[in-house]
Amino acid sequence: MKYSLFLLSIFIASNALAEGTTSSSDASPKGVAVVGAIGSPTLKLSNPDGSDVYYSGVSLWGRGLIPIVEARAFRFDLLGSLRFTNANNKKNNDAQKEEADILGYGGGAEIGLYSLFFGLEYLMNTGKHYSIGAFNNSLIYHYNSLNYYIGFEKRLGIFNLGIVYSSGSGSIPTSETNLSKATPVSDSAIWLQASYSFKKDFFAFIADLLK
Amino acid sequence: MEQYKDLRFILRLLLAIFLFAPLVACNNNSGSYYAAALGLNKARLLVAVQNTNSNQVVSYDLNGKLLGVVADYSAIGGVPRGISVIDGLRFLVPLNGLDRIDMIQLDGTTSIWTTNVQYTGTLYHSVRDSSGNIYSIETNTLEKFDSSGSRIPTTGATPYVNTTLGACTLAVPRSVVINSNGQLVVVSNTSGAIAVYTVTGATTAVCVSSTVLGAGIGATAMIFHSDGSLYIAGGTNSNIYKASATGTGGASIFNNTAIISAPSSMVELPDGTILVSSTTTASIERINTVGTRIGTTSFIKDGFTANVSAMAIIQGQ
Repeated sequence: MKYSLFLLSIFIASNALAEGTTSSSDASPKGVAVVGAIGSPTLKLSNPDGSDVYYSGVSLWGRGLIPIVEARAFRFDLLGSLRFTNANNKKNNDAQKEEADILGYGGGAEIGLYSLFFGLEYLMNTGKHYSIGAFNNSLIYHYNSLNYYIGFEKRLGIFNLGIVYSSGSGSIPTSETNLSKATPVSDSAIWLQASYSFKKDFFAFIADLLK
Repeated sequence: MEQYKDLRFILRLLLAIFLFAPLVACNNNSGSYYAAALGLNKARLLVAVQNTNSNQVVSYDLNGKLLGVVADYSAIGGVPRGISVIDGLRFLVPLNGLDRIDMIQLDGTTSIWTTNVQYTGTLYHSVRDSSGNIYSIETNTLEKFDSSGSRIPTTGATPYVNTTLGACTLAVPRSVVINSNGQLVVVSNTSGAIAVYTVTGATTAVCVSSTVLGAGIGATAMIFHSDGSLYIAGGTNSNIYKASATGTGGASIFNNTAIISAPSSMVELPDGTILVSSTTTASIERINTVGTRIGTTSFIKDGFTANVSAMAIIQGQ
């Protein structure tokens, strides 16, 4: 994973240096923005016996950004986040299948520097698992997670296109599963995101909404 | 070149995704299933069935709801006669007729755990000690296997618990437990004797004591309860007895053949109540430690409970 981060960092840095400061559109205020992303996540849970459980699937991620500080090359936003993941156990076969849906919502903060951005968010998640086969069962649980992400984007007028890497971790408490140990959860994903900038600060945005 | 700037960016983006996506998804595909998602967070009742042409291990939840057939030996003629739980997913079953012990997973995966040229007699109950050793009743003896399935002793025809050791004599032993002293306790069907052994010897057990509970009871099952007592089922007289951890002071706590008749196996539920399989009534009944039936109907009565040979609780992970 460190190797992956390293490669992405190199790529992002080179791209930002090459293009981040040259576009006139980058310099204009972004204002309130909404972001939608589709991602390819890998999710890992660990059983009490130490065995690891891997899932892969599709995630959708929405963020609303409220600018607190916005300068020419720097911005600091508060954000609200909603994330949904549908994933299948990588061990699935004809005899046993397991699928997981996880819906999370929460908030955090994002920092933008030229075309780069970094974020941290805290999510409250609800997970649902369905097992079909030798074991037929369903499970619903709740847990909280802390996620960080790093990415870069290209401003194309009021629309932006970007790529993001995210990683998060949390723990499902025993009270939710009746297992003998809490379940560590970690995930990572690469996202393709598009955002729309309203070019207005928060209060102007609200005023427009209330007109 | 300025007009191609956006196109260049998009191409770089796609290249980044192409390079990066496999790195994110680099975890191996082996893994496991999530125990809680499969329902392995809940304890299950395992029931070994020895009906003619229906030799199976069946699982129920602790409310008596049928979960399914875990393993079916009907087609190959193996009769499951005992259940020794290893962990939250696996257990061992001696198979009479096949002369072997199989390891079974709750997902139905089975594998031969051990066989041995000395392990060819009539098999009944088995027990697993805290070190993972298995003691399995074979005709009038008990064979011992270590946690890897190797017979102890490794050579010779003499089993670890021979028919006669000191004051202990086995006469058609049917059930075996480990008590709180770490001693092996075996009850015999023909003599009604409860024999107690230490099992620290390298190649043989040592008899500690032998107590006759009742010559005509036809003992078929025994558990070591969390209250520190032994509970023994009389298969012939249909009594349930309570005795000390070494088999002394035995006394009947239940005798009602309309409810329990020809009991064949027992198991303690997590709440301390006791399940008893009743052959004549083709049911599994639930009683407490003073011999009072819980509820007014059978705990389980279905097509699998007509001839139960063994029961066990497999705890959740």
